[in-house]
Amino acid sequence: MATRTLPCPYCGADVEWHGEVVLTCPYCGTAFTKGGEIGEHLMGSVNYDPGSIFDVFKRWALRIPETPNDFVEAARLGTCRLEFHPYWVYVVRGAFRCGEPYAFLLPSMPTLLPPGESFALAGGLEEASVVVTIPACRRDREGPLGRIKLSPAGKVYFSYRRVAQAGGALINPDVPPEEADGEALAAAAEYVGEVLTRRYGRPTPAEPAEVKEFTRRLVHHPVYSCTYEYQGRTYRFLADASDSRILHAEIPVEAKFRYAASAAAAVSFGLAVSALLAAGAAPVFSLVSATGLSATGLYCIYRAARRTIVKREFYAT
Amino acid sequence: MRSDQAAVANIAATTQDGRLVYLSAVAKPAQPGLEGALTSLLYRLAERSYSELLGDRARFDAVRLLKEWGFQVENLEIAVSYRCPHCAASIQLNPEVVVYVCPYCGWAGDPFGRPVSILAWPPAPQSAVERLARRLGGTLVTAQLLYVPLWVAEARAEADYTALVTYTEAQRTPGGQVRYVTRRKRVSGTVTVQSTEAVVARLNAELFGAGRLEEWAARAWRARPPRQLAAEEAKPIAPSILAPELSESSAAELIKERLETMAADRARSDARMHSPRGVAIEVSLERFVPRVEVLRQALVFTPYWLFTYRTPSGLFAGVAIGPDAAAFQAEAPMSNVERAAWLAGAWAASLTSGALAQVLAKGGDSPAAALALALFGVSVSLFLAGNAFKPAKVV
Repeated sequence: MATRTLPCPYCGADVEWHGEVVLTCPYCGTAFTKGGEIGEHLMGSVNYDPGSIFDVFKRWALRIPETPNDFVEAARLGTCRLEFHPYWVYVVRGAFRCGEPYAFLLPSMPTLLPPGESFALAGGLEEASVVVTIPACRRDREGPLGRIKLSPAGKVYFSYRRVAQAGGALINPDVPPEEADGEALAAAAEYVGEVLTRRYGRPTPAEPAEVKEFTRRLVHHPVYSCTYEYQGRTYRFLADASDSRILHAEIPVEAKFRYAASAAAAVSFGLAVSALLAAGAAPVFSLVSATGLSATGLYCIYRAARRTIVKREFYAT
Repeated sequence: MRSDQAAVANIAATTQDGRLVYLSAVAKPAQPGLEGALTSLLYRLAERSYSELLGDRARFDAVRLLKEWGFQVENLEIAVSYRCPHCAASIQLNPEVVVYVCPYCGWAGDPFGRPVSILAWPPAPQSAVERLARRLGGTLVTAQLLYVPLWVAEARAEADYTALVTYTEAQRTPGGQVRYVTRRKRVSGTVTVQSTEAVVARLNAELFGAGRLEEWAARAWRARPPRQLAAEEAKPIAPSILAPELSESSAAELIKERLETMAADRARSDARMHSPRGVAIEVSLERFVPRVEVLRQALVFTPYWLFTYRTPSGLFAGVAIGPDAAAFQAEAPMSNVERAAWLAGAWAASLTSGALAQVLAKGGDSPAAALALALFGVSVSLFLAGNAFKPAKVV
């Protein structure tokens, strides 16, 4: 697409436009579309440098028992790239209609009530305020970055200068605000429905009835995408640069775990062969047992072959 | 005045959203009158919120304003730091922080300068953590003492409800036989729940053993209330204090939601008890109107030892909570005997399912039953084998 310029709605500067869904003005940090400004543009602060995030990661990895005991000394940080990923963060406050659809028909059709029973509202309006996070970059949706939940609390106005000073890369949103608006409303209703389902003890879907506040913000959240080396192999991890959460990590598996699994596989297959030897006397026993034992053996081989484990959340929390 | 010299200005101010800050500006090149202009500029900027001051917009507007005043600056840096209202120290905090303890004088309060009482339990000595590591079968490797902030609240919920109770009732037929019929009945009532709840006052970061920490704090709040710390007591522990990031009102909302859920559970069990006769098989709430009141809420710092310990199987982590480290959560090694037992169970499941399938086949029963048994045996075997490779158990 040919390069054009669009005027920043805040400072009037001409900003190059290559067809992006949302643009960020490099002079004043305003985020806007062809249609104008899209709400506050905020960012999470970078509270950890690559060295300290790697220290946090190593301490975190040690809590996973498969991690080799020399991990802290032997693991070496490779590359560490700071990326600011975009999220649409909404505050949705209002009344949500909930309950079984028939409930809303009852007041006008009292004759449908079972005899002897008074009217009881099997639904109604629920007031709620919900914070919703929608990843603004489609490729982030399926991975660990899609699970990040943000709050407007503690976020500050966007600063291109601070992104540059931290050596960060800014990821542009490719989910238009109008599309995210619809998803946010649906997500808020779904959340209210989940709360009500827990409360009422039965499925209780909710839908927006009256939206009293619908505030949209674009938040660029800092994430470290790092690699490290351990015994000649390269592994990867993702960490939140604001609060040091490990979002995704590949961890080497200590050799003794794999040797034990190999031994278990050998015993399983040995037993399977023994079971097959009894095929003449008890064919069904032989077949069924050998199948179960072989499945166990294959599982053990899978464990023995796995040199890396992937963790997406804290162990044992 | 040399062109590489900078003009500098500093002011103490209160931002538009009420935060006590220091604002400073450094502009190059220095020009006659620029320092005075920068001071005026900073007072103008202080009319914005703290969040705005950290963004590009504030800087862009500042440069534009200086230009309007006749100054050409090539470089302008604006810095913001918090200001302790007690000792006037300049303090750098993450924007998420809602309460802090000044590391210079021990004053505790929020960024708006309002003092906050610091309640805390005394920490367990490190020797208690060493004993715990020995009890878990290892030796202590590292131990870090942190004070975790929790909002503890006493709250009360009252709720009116209407529930539909489905129950079975025994009936005697004219022929003298007993038959069971299913009936439904609406039950209404009011329930009350009162509870002490604790919420970790951090925004996003996961905390190892957070659930146990909250349980312990809620129990200890009544059994052994925490003590208020004076500034001189808070100052030395300030570096170990995790700064609270969850505001009082957000914590109150979370606690209210918990109380509502507890009241709903109580309403269901209340409705179940008021089932007319027979056995209630399902209770669903049709109407539920809760009124939740937070009676008392306080910020409490709980001593939390995060430790690692070494056993012959490797390194494991744990946390010890409270003044005597009696509450804890730790990963513990699975012994080789335990792992071997799970594996032996997997093998036994395969062999047993085979034997049963053989018996079924011999009896001429359905081959489908034998196949189902075989599949069941494989599933059980895999489940047991999976347990044999679990990295650790949580105690």
